[in-house]
Amino acid sequence: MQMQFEVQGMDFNRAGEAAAKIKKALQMVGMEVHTVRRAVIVAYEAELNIVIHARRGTLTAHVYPDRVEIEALDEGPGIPDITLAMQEGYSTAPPHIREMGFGAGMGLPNINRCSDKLQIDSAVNKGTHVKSIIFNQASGE
Amino acid sequence: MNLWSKIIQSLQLTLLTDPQTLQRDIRGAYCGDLLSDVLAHASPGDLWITIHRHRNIVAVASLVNLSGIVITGGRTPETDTLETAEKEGLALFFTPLNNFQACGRIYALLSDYSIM
Repeated sequence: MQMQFEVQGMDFNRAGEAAAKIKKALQMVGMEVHTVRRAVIVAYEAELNIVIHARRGTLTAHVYPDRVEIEALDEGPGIPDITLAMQEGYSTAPPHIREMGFGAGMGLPNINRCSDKLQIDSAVNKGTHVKSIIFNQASGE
Repeated sequence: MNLWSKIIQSLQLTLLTDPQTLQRDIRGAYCGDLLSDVLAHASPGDLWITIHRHRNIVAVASLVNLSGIVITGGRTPETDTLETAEKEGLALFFTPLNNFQACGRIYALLSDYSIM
């Protein structure tokens, strides 16, 4: 099963809708609770990264019996230094975004922590491609 | 008096959503104003204490299956926050207490119930 959602930059009114739909679908197909939780965190953070930083993008979930793959592809500023962006607390979000409780520099670290495999490719002034794989497993396995 | 009633009384909560939203069980509480932190560390069934009033808090609370949201400092939610909470069936409150005061009171209550 594959689900794809268009995500608009700066559209905070719809932020989280794609992640919510992915969550419902994963629950419907009977994925493990722990898998759903991790996939939801990855999907939400990836969706919000598009909303906060990019002009537009797509969020795609590929669902297989043994894993979930979350893919975020955006047109935006790109990430000049991915290693730096992976550090918790590092953020380029402007003050008005931080005042809403976003942009704390936890997005990519959260994605990393919840992914079994993670690949990030980015080109400055073009966009970013994030691909996360989450294996379907119960907590503690 | 059930746990919701005790929490509502002790934290001086005003319920803004339909009373039907109180059907979820409270399994704990979490306080935080960074949405990513709440998403990553709050547990299902937690009551979330926060200063935020915009609608994105409802999205986060729904994703984690929280039992409700308490907006502190006498702030009231934005109109679309309340509408979204009603739609999601999520209890939304406000209190004149600040984060620290609200946390202290709910910590004491949940300790009495051996939840914390």
